Amino acid sequence: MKGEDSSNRIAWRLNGVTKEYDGKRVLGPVNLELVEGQKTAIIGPSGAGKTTLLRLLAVETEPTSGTIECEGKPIDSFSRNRKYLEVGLMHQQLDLVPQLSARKNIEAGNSGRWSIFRTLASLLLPVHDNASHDVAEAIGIAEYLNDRTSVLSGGQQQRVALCRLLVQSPKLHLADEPVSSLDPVLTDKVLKILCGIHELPGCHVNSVVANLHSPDLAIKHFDRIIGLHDGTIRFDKPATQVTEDDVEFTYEDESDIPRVVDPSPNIKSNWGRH
Amino acid sequence: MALTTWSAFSIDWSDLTNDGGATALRSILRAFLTPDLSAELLKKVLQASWTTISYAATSMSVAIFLGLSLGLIASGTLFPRGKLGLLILISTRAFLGATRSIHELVWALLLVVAIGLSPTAGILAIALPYSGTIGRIFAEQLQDVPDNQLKAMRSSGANNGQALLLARIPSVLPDTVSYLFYRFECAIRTASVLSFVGLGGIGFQIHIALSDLKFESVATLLYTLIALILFVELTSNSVRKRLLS
Repeated sequence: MKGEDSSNRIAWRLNGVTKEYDGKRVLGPVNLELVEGQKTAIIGPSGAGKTTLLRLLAVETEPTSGTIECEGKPIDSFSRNRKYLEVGLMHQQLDLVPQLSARKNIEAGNSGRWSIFRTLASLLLPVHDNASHDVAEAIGIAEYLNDRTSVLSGGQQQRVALCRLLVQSPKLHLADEPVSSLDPVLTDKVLKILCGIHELPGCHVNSVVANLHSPDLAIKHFDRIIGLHDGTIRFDKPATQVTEDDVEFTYEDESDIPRVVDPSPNIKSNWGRH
Repeated sequence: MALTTWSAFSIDWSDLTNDGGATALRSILRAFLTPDLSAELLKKVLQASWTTISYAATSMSVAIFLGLSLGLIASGTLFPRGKLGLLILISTRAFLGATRSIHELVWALLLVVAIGLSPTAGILAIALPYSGTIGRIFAEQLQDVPDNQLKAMRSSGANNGQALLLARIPSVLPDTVSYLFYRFECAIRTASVLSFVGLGGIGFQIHIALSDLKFESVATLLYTLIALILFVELTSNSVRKRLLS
């Protein structure tokens, strides 16, 4: 929310960032400032460069040109061992270890803070990390914690991956389609936690950037919406000021423009839970 | 093609048939239908099986310990590849390569000469080449773990050791365990062959029975060997199933 509140500290800054794969530009040039504590949603059609933008912020890939700064320092100066404190990314493919239990996948979020001995003990001894358990309970997967991750449904696995990110608790949470496999009730619950509307004990969600497939969800839960099309920013507004024209402009050339429909949180649906 | 033709011509085919061979073959086949099941022989078979199994089990214990720990180092997933790291990596791989390129039988002959006809020689003759093979396979399995899982662990702040514990080992465990069971089967076979060298066990009994032309006893011993290997395979299947569920 640029210029709205001067006390908001700009934590992340992208200056003329572009990304090319094999000479083909997939993103940029993008100029963007992320305010600390802000919950930002990125919407746009497939192939707009949403995932690339998140991967750049997560220092998983380097921009072809331009710079990304955090607190005034280039982000590639993060020490590899301290990066987990700054930024964490939940991939769309989740990247869980299927052979481990859901609990161990979630507790893996503690790796940066834990020594290797503690990790070993967590794998061999029947000791459970309370913070991980609390997060899992809030997200609604406490009953599956001891199941092998490979036997869980897509929606359950998605929540396991989100729990791992919440347990890691970096300054900037990045989430690529974090609710794509969830039913409307769960989506509402999960996004409220991700956006800090529901505070969890021992887990403070600070800044968030999430890619969403649904403009309605973005507008409902997030502070700021960025519309991305063909690698460039079509609009960048506070959620309250986003109009239907903005959304249509972002999805233009697409045959199926998502209509703005309020997803009713009263629907008692079970799909996606199993 | 040329090689096959050439090798076919370089065999002296006239030696391939042997007078009276058909009679011998017939009596061997008959022996397999009527194996010797006398109490005296069965007792001997039990003792010999026990010797063979203990050789196989002891050598496998040594081979698993050596193979897994060296394989872990040889996978290069634990240390950064500095000068020292590279030196350790190359020397481990060289050791694994050297031990497995020499056959068990040759190891046995060498070790019998070096330390005499003792169980230690037999055990080492199996353990050394087997640790080479196990180490190499384990190293490759560790390297083949999906990169995205490792990256996810790293981005949660995991170091190499934690990524090993949380992603690499859980991913490879079922395959590694079933491979180790397969190697145990091989070890039983090898242990019985090595007993021809004079180390005792099923192979030694087969050797004696063959020299005495007691084909019925040979049949019993071979059936026992098959039973042992089937038993290991069944155990392996059930353990693997438990690891996967």
